[in-house]
Amino acid sequence: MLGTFEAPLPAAVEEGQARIPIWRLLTMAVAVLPVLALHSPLAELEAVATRRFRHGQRIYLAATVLGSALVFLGGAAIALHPLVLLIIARSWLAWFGLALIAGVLLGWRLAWTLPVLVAVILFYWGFAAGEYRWWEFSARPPDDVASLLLSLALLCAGLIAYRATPWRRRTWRRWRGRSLRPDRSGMS
Amino acid sequence: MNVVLDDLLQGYAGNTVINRLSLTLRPGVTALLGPNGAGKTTLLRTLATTLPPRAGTVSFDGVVLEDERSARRVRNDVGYLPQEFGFDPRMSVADFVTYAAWLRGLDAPDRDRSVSEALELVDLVDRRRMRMGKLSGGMRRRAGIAWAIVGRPRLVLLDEPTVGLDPRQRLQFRRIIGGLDGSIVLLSTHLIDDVAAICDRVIVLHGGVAKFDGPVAELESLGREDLPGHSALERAYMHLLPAEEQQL
Amino acid sequence: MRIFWLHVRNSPVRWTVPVLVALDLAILFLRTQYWVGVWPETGAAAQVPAYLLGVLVAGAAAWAAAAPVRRGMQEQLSVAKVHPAGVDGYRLAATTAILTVPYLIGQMVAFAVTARTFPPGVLLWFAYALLGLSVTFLSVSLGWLLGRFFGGGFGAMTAALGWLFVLALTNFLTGDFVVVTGRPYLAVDAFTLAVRFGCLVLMAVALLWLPESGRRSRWPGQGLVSVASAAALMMLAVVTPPVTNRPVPEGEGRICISGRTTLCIWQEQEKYRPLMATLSGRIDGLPTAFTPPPEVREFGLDARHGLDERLGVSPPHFYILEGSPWSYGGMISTEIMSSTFAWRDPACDWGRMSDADQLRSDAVLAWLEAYLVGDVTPDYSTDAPSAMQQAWASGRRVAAERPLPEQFDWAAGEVISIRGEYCAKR
Repeated sequence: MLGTFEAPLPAAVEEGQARIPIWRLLTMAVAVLPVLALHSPLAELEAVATRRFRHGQRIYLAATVLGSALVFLGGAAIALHPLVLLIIARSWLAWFGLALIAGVLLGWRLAWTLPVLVAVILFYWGFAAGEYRWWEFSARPPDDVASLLLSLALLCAGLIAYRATPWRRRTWRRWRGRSLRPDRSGMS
Repeated sequence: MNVVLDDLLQGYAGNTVINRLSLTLRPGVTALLGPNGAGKTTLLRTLATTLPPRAGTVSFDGVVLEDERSARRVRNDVGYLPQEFGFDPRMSVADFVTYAAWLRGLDAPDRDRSVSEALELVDLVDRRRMRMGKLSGGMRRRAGIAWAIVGRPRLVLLDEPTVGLDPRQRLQFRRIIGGLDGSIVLLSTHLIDDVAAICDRVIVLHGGVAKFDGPVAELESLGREDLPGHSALERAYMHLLPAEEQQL
Repeated sequence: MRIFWLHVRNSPVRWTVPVLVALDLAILFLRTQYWVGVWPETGAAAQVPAYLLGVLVAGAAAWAAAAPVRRGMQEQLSVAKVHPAGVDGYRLAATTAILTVPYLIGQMVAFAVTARTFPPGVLLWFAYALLGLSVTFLSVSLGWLLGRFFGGGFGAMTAALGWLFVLALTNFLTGDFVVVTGRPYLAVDAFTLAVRFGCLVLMAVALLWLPESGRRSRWPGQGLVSVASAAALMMLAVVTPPVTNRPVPEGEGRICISGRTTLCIWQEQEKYRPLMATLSGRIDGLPTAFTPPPEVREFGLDARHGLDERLGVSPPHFYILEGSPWSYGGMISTEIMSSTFAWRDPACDWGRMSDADQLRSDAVLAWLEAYLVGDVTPDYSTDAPSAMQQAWASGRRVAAERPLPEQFDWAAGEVISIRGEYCAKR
C-alpha cells in the first residue's frame, strides 16, 4: 500500500511537477540493498581468498537478490496491478546493474550513488510530449522493447563489472592489445 | 601532576577486568606489562576517561573524576593512542595532528606551535603534507604518537605503540618517549626490550591485579635462572605468572 | 575558522560538488528558459534543483555523518576535550557548507542571467533563493539524522530514499511543499521562511545531541529525545505553506498597454511588454463583430481574481505560464469570445445552442487563439473529445491557409451567424 503513495517532484513537463509513485523508488531500494550487503570489513583478507570465497559470494548475492526480489514482487502483487509488476521486474534489472557498476567503481557501500543519480535524471527528464522517453525504464509500458533492452544492457554491464577482477582486466587488456597489434607472420 | 587510582574496579557486562587496583602515577615513563586479557587496555581506557569506573576512584591532581563534566575537564591533559587507531586516509599528516590539537582544546595560537613541535618530535615535519593513507606503517604509527603527544599533555597513554615497527623505528620511538620530560607516560607493551630501554617503572598486571609495581631494576632481580627467558626481565616477568603458566 | 576549513578540506563529500553543480545547472538550463528576465520565476526555477538534488544531498550527508564510525575514530574522539556536540557541530557545518555550494552556484548563475536586464522584483528572487536554501538544509538534516543512526552505505541509501518519502509525506499532508514556479501573483511567505529556518536551527541543535554511535547516552532517553525533536521540527518545517498570494499592486506595480482591450501585466513580467503590445495590436485589428472586453489583467492584478467564476464575479484575466504565448493568447481569446458572445446575456438563449453551432464557436475560438498568438501549432496537448479537437483543427486551418482578410471575413461571418441564431438583435 505504501507503494501507491506518490512523491511530488519537479519534472521537465508542463506545470513543472510530476508525481512519482513510491513503488518506483522501492524497486530501486530493493535492487540496491543486496549489493550494499556485499561490503565486508574483511575485504582485504577476502581479496586473497580461494575460488571458494567468490563462489560463496555469488551464491550469497544470488540468494539475497532473488529473495528480496521475490518478497518485494510478492508484496507488490497484492497491492498493485499485474502489469505494474512487469515494469517493476524490468526496472529492477537496470537498478541492480547500476548498483553493481557503482559498487565496483566506488566501493560496495556507495553502490546507491549511481542508481540514485540515474533516478533523478529519469524522474526529471524522463517524461516529454505526453509519454515517457524510451530510456525511462522505470515507467515505460510493460511491453516496451527498447527500455527492456536497456535494462538488460545495464544488467549485463553490471555483471561484467562484477566479474572484472584485477586479473581478468589484465587479461582483457592483453587480448585487446593482441587484437589491435598488426599480424607480423609472413612478413620478410 | 599525579594520577591516583584508588580501589579501582572495572569491567564489561558481568566480567571484572580490573580488580581493586590502587596505584599512583607520577611523571616518568611507566611500562604496563601483562598477558592478553590482563586488563592493560581497560586500564588505559579508564585513565583516558572513556570508561567510568564501576567502583573506586580515579583522581587527577587530587580532583576525583565523578561525572562527564569532570572527565572532560581533564582531557586537555590526556593524550591517548589506542592500539588500533582510526584515521582518514585522505587527511594530511598536519591536518591529522592539528585535528588532535583542536580536540584537546588547544586554541589557535598554541595549536600551530604544538603541531609543529609534535611533528618535529616524531620526525614527520617533511611529511606534513603527505596523506595519511600514503604513509608506511611505521610513519603512520609515528603520526599516531604525534596525535597523542601534541600539546604536551601531562598524561600520555600509549597502547602497544611499537607494534609493527622495525628496529630502527623502535629506536626512534624510544627517542620520542625520552623527549617527553615532565609527563606521565604509561606505555602498554609486550616488548621487554622497550621496557628495559626507556621505562623507569613497570607495573605487571595479571587477572586485573597488579602483580608488581616498582622500578625496572627491582623487577629484574626477581628473575630465576630456571625460568624461560632470554633476559633477566623476561625471566622476572615469567616469575610473576601463576605456576601453571611459567613453563612453555 | 581554520578548524572549520580543516573539516571542509577533509570532508568525505567534497567530491560530490562537481557532480551536483553539473546536475543543478542541467536542471536549470536543460528544459526551458522562460524564467530568464523575470525575477520571481528566476528564483523559483533556480530553487527547483534543491528538491531533486536533495535526494543525493541527503545520501551524501548521511555518508559524512557516519564517517567517524567508518574510519574507526570513535575511540579517539571519545577522549576529546571538545564537547561531542562541538565535534559534531563542525562536521555538520562543513557538510552543510559543501552540500549547499552547488545550489548556491545555480542561484548565482540564474541571478547573473536575469541581472543582464535587471527587471523589477529582485527581492522576490531572493526570497525564493532562501526557500531553496531551506530545502537544501532540510535534506542535509535528514541525511545527517539517518546517517548517524544507520551508518555507512545503508544509512546513505536510506537517507536518499527517505528524502523522497518526506516529499511523498508532504504531498499527503499539504500538497504544496514542492514549489516549481514563481508566478508573479505569488510570493514566498516570510512567516513560513522564518518558521522553517527557526525549525532548522533547532533541528541542528537536536542533531548535535544525538548520542555517539556505539556509545552509551550521556543521559537517559537522549537518543529518543533527539530523534523525536528532530523529526517533529522537520514535520513543522515542511507543513508550513511556502508561498502566498501577493497583494494587488497599484500604479507602478503593473504595466498596461492600451487599445481596444487594455492588457495589464505585473511589472515583474516587464520582458513580456513587447509581446503584449503585439497582441494588443492584433486585438485592435479584429473585425467589429468581435466585442473584446475593455480590460484584461494578468491574474492577481484584481482582488476579485480567483473568486467563483460560475458567479461571473471574477473579471477577465489571463496567465503567462512558463512564457508560453498559447497560455495568455488562449485565455485572452476565451475572454474575447465570452465578451463577444455574452454567454450570460439574458437576451441570448444559449441554452438551446446545438452541438453543431457549439463546434462552430469552438472553431472560431481556435482561429482567434491562433490569430492572437501568431502561430497555428499549439504547444500544449489535450484530451478533449475528438469532435471538439476537430473543430479546433478546422479553425487553425483557416488561420494557416487563408489570407488575413479572408480569415476576418470568415470569423466575423461565423460570429454574426451564431449570435443571430440565438440572440435578439442588439
